[in-house]
Amino acid sequence: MTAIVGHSAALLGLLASTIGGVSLVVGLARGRTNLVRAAWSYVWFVVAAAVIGMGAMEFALVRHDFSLQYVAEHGSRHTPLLYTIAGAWSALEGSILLWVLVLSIYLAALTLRHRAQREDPVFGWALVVMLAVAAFFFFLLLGAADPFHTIKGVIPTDGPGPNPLLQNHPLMAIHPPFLYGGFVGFTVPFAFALASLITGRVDEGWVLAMRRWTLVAFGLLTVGIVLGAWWSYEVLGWGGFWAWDPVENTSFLPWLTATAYLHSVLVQERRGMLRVWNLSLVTATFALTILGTFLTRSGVLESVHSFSESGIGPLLLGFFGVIVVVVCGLLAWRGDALRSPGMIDSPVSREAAFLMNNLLFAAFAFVVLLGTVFPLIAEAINNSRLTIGRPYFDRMTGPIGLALLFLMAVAPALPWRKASKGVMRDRLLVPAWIGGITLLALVVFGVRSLAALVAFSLGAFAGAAALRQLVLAARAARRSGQPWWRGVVGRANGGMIVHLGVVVVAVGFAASMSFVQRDEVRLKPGESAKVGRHHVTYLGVDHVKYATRSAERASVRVDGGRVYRPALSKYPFATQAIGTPSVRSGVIDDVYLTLVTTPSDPKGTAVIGIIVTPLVNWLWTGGLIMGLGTAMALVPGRRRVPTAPASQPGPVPEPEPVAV
Amino acid sequence: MKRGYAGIFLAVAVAVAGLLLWQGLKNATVYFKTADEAVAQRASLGTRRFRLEGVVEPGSVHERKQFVDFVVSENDAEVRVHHVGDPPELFKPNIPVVLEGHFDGQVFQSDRILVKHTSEYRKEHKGRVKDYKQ
Repeated sequence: MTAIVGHSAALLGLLASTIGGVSLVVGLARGRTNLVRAAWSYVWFVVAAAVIGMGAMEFALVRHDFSLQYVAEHGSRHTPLLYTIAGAWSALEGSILLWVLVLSIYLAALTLRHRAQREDPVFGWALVVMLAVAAFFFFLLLGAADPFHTIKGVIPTDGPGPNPLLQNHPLMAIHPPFLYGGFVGFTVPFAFALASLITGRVDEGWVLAMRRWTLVAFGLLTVGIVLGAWWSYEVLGWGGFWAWDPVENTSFLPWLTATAYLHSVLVQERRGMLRVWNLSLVTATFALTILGTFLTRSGVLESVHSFSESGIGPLLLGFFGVIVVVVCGLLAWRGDALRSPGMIDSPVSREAAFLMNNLLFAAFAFVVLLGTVFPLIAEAINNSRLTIGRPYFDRMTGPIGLALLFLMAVAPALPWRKASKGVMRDRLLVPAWIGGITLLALVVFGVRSLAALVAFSLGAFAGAAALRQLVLAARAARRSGQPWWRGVVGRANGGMIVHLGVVVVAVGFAASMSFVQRDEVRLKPGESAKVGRHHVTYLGVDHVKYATRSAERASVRVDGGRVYRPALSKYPFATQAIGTPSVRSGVIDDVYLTLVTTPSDPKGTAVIGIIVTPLVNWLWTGGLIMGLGTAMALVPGRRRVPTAPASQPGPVPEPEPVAV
Repeated sequence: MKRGYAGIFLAVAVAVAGLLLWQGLKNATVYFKTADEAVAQRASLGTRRFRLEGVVEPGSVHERKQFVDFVVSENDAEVRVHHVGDPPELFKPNIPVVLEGHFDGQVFQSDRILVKHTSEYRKEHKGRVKDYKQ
């Protein structure tokens, strides 16, 4: 029954998005506005299809309907409700369903928000693109990734439940929806970029319409990535949070190109420059979400030769190819119209800094992409299996990251067009002093790691620069009779809050990478060990039975205070024991405890892994500040005067320090 | 003339970046060999670091305080392993493992043991672990 509902929903979605898309194309091509207006109402069928589909999936999961293969493979009667619900996106088929649901939410929001522009061809063509994307994913649900596939023969009475690693931390329930909110959200700016090329209206219109949409997707993706890193820290037990694993890289790649876009788009808005570049960045961001889904979901990373075994691999790769070809074709077709009216006047200007920022982000993305797909290329060429280790990623991205940190300090202080020495001194002297004093203080206090010294002092520099902007903006708001908080909302000031978040993340990243202390100690009950400034006492081990698992649980007292319980859990359906770390979190450092080996008898020796990581909490805090800053950037800020697009000779006008 | 210099500068920049990337990739590449491949390519592998995959032979495991000795095999080819450090809780005979280290004569010096997800592993790599004994 559920299967029928689910299949019907997917079919409804495919039909509604196809018919809607086709009638829009016909209406737009023939100029028949009634057809165009009518086509918008198909969106509601698409939304209904996605909601019914996800509803049917959740219904089957919660009711333990093991006649569905997906439920039989990823559900169980003993799994707690939260993880049963989250089970809907714990595997391929369900995650495609989540993709469709998120896309339909964006469709609905777009339809409601831009009611007045429904006859506008740019909006019409954008909807065509979005409906085409929706049709593709509904098509996947009907065949290659069918979540409602029923089991032939005997229906099992219970299932294994989600992968054990996916059911022992609540972050796993919220991380994927955030990530998908970001991933799928980039469909909207991509659709508008294509629409602008199709209609030939390649001016700044679509860019302005897409400001908030891109920010929403960016904010959700940022939070999603940080939650994912946090989850892997809390659950995986190796004490790290980022391993340059292909799954992590593929979520990070669209973030890099999206961040580049958010900056370069300001140049287009202000000066009309970088049009092709911005279109390319929007396309790259969307295409990378599809490529990422292909890489992580097709099994290609296991082996180049295995991806065609999954039905979804060739389809996703084909879709990726179509996107790239269509955009390249459109760019070539509209090449003439994309010429920019302005030029960069001086290398010491806001627009030049943004250009540099974009080059660095593009290089960053290229390095990560190359490292991720290099094993595939090597296997395809000479059949050798290899992995690219952390050293490559750390060594290549580290300097780029530090350069970006430096740019983040300097660029917001640069005026458009051309900076004079006086302006630079006014705006950067105090932040630069703060950075310098930080450096001096760290050296005096005995910090010797070069990477950490550079990261901390650049962080202080950039943080001070961002704070200065915010203080000035808040003061300016007060002076013009508005409440002070008007100075910390709006795109420019929200952006500064995001910058502060980046500084916090960068400091946490550098500290946790440079000063981590790891040890594995063999302890009998009552014995202690010292790692860094922390005393750890092993008290004993006990055996606990839960509904879904049994666990050997060690009791470990940290610094004579609270007792922490790292464990090794066994799930009935998994052959492997799953380590559950226990973490004492603090502002200064975390004490991360794992049970490596359980003793054979209660009085025996246990092996306890102890990892002391400084400032690792700053990563999550910084990530949340970035999300918050993005949200504040969505609030309308103060109006400002635009700069003329073409450059003029004569004296350089002095803009307000808060204007971006 | 100015354009010419810009072109040269760009070409040099691209070349330097390419060289850096190539060096970075080369130094961070860890090859992945099954025990039979490793035996066959022992000469060319030298003392290079790589990942070795094989099934832990039953009866071959000798655990000492600081290290553990055992044998991994794949398609009837065997490699003797000397692993420094505590093996993970899940380490036991008859499971497929991945080791990281290098050859030292006939013995593979390992400093890292990764235990594969056994059930899924068997399902996905039917060809790779042939006579898997439970």
